[in-house]
Amino acid sequence: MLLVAVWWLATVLKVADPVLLPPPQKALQALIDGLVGGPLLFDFGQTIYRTVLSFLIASAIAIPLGVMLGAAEKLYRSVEFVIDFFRSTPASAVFPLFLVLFGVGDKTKIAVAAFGASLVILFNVAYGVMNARKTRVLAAKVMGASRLRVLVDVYLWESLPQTFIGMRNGISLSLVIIVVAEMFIGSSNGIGYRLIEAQMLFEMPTMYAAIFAAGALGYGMNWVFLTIEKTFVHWGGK
Amino acid sequence: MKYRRDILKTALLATAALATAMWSAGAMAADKVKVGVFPVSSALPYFVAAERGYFKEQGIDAEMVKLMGAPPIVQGMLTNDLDAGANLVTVDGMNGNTKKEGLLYYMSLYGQNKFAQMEQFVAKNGIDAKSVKDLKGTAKKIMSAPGAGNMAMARAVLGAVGMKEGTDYTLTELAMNLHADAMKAGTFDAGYTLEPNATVMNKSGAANTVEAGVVSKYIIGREEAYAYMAGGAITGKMLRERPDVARRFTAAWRKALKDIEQDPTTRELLKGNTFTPPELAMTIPLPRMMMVDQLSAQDKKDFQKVIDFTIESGVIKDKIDTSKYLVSPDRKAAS
Repeated sequence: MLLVAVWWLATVLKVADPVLLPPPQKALQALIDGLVGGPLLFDFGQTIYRTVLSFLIASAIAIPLGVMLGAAEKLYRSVEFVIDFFRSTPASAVFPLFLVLFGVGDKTKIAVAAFGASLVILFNVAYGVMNARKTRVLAAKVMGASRLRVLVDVYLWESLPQTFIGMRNGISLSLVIIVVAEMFIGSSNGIGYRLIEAQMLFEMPTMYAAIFAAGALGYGMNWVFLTIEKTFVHWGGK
Repeated sequence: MKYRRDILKTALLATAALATAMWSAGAMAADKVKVGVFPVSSALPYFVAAERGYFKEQGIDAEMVKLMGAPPIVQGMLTNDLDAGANLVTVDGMNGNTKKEGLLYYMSLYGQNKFAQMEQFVAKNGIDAKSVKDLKGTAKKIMSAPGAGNMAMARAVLGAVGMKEGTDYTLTELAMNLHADAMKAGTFDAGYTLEPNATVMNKSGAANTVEAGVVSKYIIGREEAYAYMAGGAITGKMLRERPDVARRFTAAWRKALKDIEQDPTTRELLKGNTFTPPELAMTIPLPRMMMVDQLSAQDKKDFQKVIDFTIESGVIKDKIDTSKYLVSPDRKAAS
């Protein structure tokens, strides 16, 4: 609310040209118009579809791999440099590589987002497993549990709180990468596309509406994950 | 007493001399003009005027601000960070004027058609198309130069030959730097692209030109017509508040355009200054560059027709009379 008040005041005081900084009520109107019968609702859906798909691909690859690497710490340490290197590489820097591999279109956007998210999830899952309480692992072993049983019944459950943190970060990163990809590589829809098109045509209320939509989507996804986390991994940290 | 008077006299003389020196230095200082330049071949007039000293001889200190595309130039004009644009896309410029009346005025326009090639359809190897209508049934996946204006042009041209989006083809907006690679990789069957990409694709064998000058043929309706898609512009602010600077800046621009028309060696300045590959600088097609007072009545009608088309297709939201925004400050106002 404070931000909106500052924005409104800036428009009243004409801090910037009114074409570039319209009053907040105009942006709100553009958001409503865009969502009710306008193109923004479809763009919203497209961005959600790409984000969720990339996130699911990332999770399907990173969670089992993270559990396996975490359970074999020596193996994880041997590949840690590669994981950290690519985790630290800005996803936008690998766009050209993925464009060569997957061509333009949805495949590249989803693949880059899945790549970025999978490393974050993998890293968190592996550390979740490695930091599993030794007493619980020991207790299971003492009671004669097999290696597989220890992995599934102890390591997997022990890593879940950290896995959820990784998934929450992963979906946020997926959204960021998808929006950036929609803005800068071939696209015909999506929040990022709507945002850059509005900016190029100086349809500033629409541009701010798209920013609102992206922000609301990011917040919504984070909230959903927090709720799931609190419900299903309530033992985290206990 | 006399000694004190001498000191006072000396101090007064020194102050007067300093003031005179500062005044004359101020009078000699060139007027600063910040020019937004999108470093592609149509920015050539700026480099000719700058490198051949035409700005300097008019007492203009031109400062280049390199920007990627037309929208940042319009934005720079809106925020008063720029006084002029070397190669401002007319759809974006006129759109800027619908947002803020009198934001910018064109002093020169650059026309393109099949003789002065810029926009064109290309097809991948294996598609034997002599004109856009031959793409029907042979090209399903089509890419387009970015921006709502380019997308609208591409759709209109394909529509004019009876191709329906969704049924006959899909159109994907693609950044210019990806065009050659995407065609080479076979990602698309055809594309609506601009120079120098088309020449690069033709030379490298990535794609072949199907038809150039499509805006003139399919949107204006006459193959020989020039589609004025970009031009040199100055801000309304400079025109109103510094009319003499605007006059001298335009005079320098006129001289540069004359050189480009008469002296092919001006193309040497494309090398290094623009994205044009150096090996193509001397042969790449250039648009016809005209000062607006050199345009015929038909040229102006054709220009209005292109802008009207972008209004009809929803790119520009409000109607605009383009003739209001053509000026020649170094001559009489263009009528």
